[in-house]
Amino acid sequence: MSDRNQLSRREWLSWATHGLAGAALTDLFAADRPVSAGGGVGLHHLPRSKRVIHICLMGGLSHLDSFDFKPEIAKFHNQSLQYDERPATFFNRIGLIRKNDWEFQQRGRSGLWISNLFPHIAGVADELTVIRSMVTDSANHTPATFQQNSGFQLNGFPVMGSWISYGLGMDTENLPAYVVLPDARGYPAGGTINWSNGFLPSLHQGVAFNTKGTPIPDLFPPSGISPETDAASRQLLRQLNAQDINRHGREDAVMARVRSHELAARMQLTIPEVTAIDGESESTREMYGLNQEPTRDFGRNCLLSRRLLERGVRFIQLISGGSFGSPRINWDGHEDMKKNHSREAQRIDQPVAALIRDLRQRGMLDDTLVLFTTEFGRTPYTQSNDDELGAGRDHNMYGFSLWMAGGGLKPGVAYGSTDEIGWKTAEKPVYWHDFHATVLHLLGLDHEKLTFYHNGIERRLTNVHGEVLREIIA
Amino acid sequence: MNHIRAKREISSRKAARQRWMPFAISILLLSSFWCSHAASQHPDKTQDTQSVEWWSLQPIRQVDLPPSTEKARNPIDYFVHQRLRQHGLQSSIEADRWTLIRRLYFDLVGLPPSPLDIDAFVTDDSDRAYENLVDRLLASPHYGERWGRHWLDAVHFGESNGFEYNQPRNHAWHYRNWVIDAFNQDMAYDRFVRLQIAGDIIASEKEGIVATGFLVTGPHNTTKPSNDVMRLTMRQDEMEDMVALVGQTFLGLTINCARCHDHKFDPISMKDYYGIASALAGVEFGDQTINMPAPGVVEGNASKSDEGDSLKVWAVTSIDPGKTHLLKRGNVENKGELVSPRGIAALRMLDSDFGLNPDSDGRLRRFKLAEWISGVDNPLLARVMVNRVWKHHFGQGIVLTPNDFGYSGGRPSHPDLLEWLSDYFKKHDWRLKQLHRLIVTSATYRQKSSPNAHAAAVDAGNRYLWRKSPSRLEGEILRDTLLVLSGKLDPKFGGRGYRDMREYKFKGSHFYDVISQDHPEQFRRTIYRFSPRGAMRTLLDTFDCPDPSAITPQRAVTTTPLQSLALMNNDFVVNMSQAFARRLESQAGLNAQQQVFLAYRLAYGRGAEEQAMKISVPFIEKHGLAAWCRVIFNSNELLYVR
Repeated sequence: MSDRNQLSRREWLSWATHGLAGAALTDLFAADRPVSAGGGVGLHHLPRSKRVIHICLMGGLSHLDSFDFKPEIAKFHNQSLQYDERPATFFNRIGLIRKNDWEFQQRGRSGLWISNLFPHIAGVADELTVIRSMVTDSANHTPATFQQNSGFQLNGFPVMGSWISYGLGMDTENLPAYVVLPDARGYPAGGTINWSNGFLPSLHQGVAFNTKGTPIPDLFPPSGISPETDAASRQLLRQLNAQDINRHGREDAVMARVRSHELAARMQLTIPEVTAIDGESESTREMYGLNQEPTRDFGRNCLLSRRLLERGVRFIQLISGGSFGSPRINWDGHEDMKKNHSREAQRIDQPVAALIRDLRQRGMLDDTLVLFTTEFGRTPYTQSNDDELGAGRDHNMYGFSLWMAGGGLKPGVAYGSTDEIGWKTAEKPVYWHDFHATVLHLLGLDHEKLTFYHNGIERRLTNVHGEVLREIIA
Repeated sequence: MNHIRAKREISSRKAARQRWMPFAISILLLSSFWCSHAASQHPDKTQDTQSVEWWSLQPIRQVDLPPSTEKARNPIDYFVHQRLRQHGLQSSIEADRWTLIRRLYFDLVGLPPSPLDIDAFVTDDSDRAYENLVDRLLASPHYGERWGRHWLDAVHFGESNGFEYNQPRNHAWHYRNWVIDAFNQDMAYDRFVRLQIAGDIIASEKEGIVATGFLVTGPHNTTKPSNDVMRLTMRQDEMEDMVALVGQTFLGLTINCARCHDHKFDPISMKDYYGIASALAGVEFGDQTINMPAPGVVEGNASKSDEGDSLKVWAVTSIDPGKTHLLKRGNVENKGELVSPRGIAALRMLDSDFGLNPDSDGRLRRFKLAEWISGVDNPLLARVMVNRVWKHHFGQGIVLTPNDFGYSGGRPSHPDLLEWLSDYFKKHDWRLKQLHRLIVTSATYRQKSSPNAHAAAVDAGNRYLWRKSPSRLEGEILRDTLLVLSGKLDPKFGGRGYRDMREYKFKGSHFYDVISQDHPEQFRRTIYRFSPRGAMRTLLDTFDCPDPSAITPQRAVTTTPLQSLALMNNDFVVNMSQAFARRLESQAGLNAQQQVFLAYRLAYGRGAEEQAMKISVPFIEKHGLAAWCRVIFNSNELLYVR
């Protein structure tokens, strides 16, 4: 048995002390490599999209009131749900069936049904690929959110943005590969757990941009250090490090550190420039809703997302909604759907539609994926006593909707369906693993090959599941 | 209405997809990909998968010592030099004493040596100068603070529940301190293991209960839905994490891979998995109250709680374990046979039959599990720990996968050495300090770290140890070092941790926002940092401190622009550079040359050469001493241990 075989490529890449990240950076810093090769494991096939913006609705958007039109539900309005096995919901109260609170219309040339909850998004209906047959494993917010983002219900697994950063590497050296833009009202429950790199190297962690003040922590020195001193300090650091290399010899890791200081300096130039949205035209600001209250925060984040995408960020997570509890600041309409969803939709509807239009008009939608998802849907029956028609809906994991748009997708189509009252998925059920497999596929990555060894298992975003949804791919 | 029919259609179509095993892995479903992949990656693995003949499952072999060599200092070197020779490689010469003392300090206590320590060592002409230094460091309480951190990584120690509410665990720090103390006291490793599984049953009330904090370090979801299936599934996920923790930490076996099907690669059946799960089924998360003997005898590091003479600790709470069924495909709605608490049958030298019924007492089950794992004939108990210790000394283990000694893991680079060290460890009463002593006094450990193009062409990863690989300071050690240099370190040992965050509750969830570190009570060693889940810190995260929810036997070492920004600009770093400057001024006076000279001795452990003076002095005169100190903090010579 040859010992040389112990140094298999896999061991090299994911087990050695300097880990895959070390190897990746060594590649990155090799002078003759194109910048776009920055650190990823490499493509498995030709990509249809190069970057992703993930709009993540926290709390549970009601599919029945937005993207899943159920004309039959009116017949059951105010009636009891028929079941032989009590459905799993969070609060376990099964009130009477309630029809949709927003009217639906067919939109655009495609005729997609979208409700009046999202009049602006309805205006870009022909760009959307709607999935109406999502199913998930938990009707509990945080496990369901983790599963939406990482494929697993527990803490400690890398999220999709981290996997994509790991898979595709950086398209720019001047910005983080994975940026998170939290809701201006606060972080989601669990805080930074939601953009954890899990067991992937830390360079794949989501970098949350602050909504106020310096965009990211530690971007600039604290007051008291002048730009001249800062520049001279970098110069001195280069000299000291050169002396160190003379003394101890060249090491890849040490050379990578030297290079990282240069990249840091570039980030200091790029981040203020990209976050300076004041320079955008008045018509653009108007389009994104920056000039009025309900849309100002999310509009700013949507516009910032487009600017970040233009400059090479791979994955942006735009979060709509903060933590749970009352009064609510997310989509968790347990008490009063009309009030809750009206308020939340008004914050994001116009900005999201503007983002789609803007990406289209700049030619970016051809190779950008826009994902619009939520952790689960809401029940067709209200959260109330058995014989009562309440105003709020509980969590529904058996069927819900999301949409995608952009490079590689068939636009203006709806995939799958729920039953006649929108309770359970009836045709073509889609699990998060299928969704993740499809996203990776569109980016040129094979979800079965994008793996990282961790404690005995070649881990994947899709665990051991996932089928690419070929029907929705153009 | 066709809702029910719709559900059944989904169930049948998706039957094989197993929605209820999110955390587990169902490898059967991708056998073609998996097997070809595994085979191509392991051309040396001629043994069958799932074989009880697998090397790591065999008793520890008695191996003959290879012949001694000229440069050898102890038997470790015989094995290493033999291997090097086989590959046409040579070991490097011994590093100088300045390098050695710095290496030993960072490795054994995680702090830089003081100039006085360095002077004493380099001028010590005793034959035992090096050995004496090693003994002194192993006797230092800082040793436990250094090596305890390695253990906390491996057991995913976190001080909040995670998930939606993410409540703080205000009493989890007792376990952290217990780990530190256990390392410092050189507790026999087999006892260290037993206490963490069943301390509440076999030891004094306080120590025993605190030690079981091990089993409840992981995430714990307190947002309980009213639906039974969801609650049971959450519990099963939690059990899988616990089985993973126990199996990987003590045995290097990924028993957790057998929750939904027999292990694909190792001879571990679902029955084995549920046997271990049954042994742990009586474990619940929570605060335990310990009655303290009398006021006044409470130890200094176990401060009294609000309730007077009782002490709260985050530890195992024993609950009725119920009966454990094998769950087909891991599905809580698909119960199979009843399972008795038991060990892994593939470890044939041990009796996996605990002699217990499926309805036996929960504490008794854990007691039996602890006895089984820590059995003197269990070969993995020694091998896995020896390999962890080796990994932290050399940067990589003899087996590259510290938590996986199965088929998917790495093969030992020095199989005989691993056997010999495991045997040595057992013969020396499972004492870690003796193992450290042997390793760090070897010629292999004392080699220079200089690169060598010829050797790198043969063995770029240094698997055969032709040199000592340089290492970069971990995030915690970097922070500790800045505190030492600035003269600000509060060396207080033990006790409740410090906080670098503001904890608050907002709409039911707990949040942990960054606050600045400018209070002396925060200037403690980083192992004492209160470490909730979901509380990122740039300086620590960018330097690869792990997510406390991920079991991390081995950290990645990354180099990124965000790391550079953190070390240049983090307000803590800048504050420490100012404090370092004040210290230099007070100890070296106002002469810039004197300041540089002292700073080099403190930070790099050596004198400053002419060339360094030439660029440093004009910089200090123009930009100030604090600005220069900030550059030193960022320099590679500070960050890398050679």
